[in-house]
Amino acid sequence: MSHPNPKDELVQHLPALRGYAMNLTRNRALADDMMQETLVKAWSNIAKFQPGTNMRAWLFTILRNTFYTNRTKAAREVEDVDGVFAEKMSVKPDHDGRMQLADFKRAFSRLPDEQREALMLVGALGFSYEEVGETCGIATGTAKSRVSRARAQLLDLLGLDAGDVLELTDRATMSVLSAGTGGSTK
Amino acid sequence: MRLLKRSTNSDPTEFVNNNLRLVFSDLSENDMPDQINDLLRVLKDQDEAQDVKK
Repeated sequence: MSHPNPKDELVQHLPALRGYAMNLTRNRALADDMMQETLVKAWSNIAKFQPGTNMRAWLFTILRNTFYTNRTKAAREVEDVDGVFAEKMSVKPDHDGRMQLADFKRAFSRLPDEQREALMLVGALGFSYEEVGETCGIATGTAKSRVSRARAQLLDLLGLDAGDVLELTDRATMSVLSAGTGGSTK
Repeated sequence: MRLLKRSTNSDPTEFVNNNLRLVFSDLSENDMPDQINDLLRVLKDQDEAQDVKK
């Protein structure tokens, strides 16, 4: 069975890779640097990618390793110097749905880095716990624990109980959701 | 912090996941920076140049 050129698939994942980089670094300039480095590494090592496996998880792993390898340098830089991450997490009270999302963003940004990362991978991108473990270099059980703690803390920050039943925002927001982000459904 | 609305439409996990998708959508942005597009073009040109050599 033949597979399409993996480099074509790689390009399709760049927007998601950028979102992951932004979530990881909280700094647009640093995120774009990580993106470039990851793109070069992935492109030049594309032969190592196994067709039929999860390209997005593979790319995220490269970016994550790149980020933590360079972390000594990154730590010297001021987080979110351009305020982009904070701006994206800030309140935009234009209507009811956005207000709710703004509350959510603010609470989400307060989660510890490792929890925020794991929850984003599972909740937004549909990664399995195994894939989170592989991407983050942790055991599957640890991934599950991080996601569970992240959810609990997020609900706590939002002032909600785990048993609460909630309603999602407005039609405009729902249209974005129904369009999806192309995440895996594993 | 204001309270979120409640109804019978979704459980907390679904609520969190749906909002996370929105947050991620915002972070991903549709427009790729020029530097990434430029790099992609360079990489593709290199591949084409190599293909011609073969």
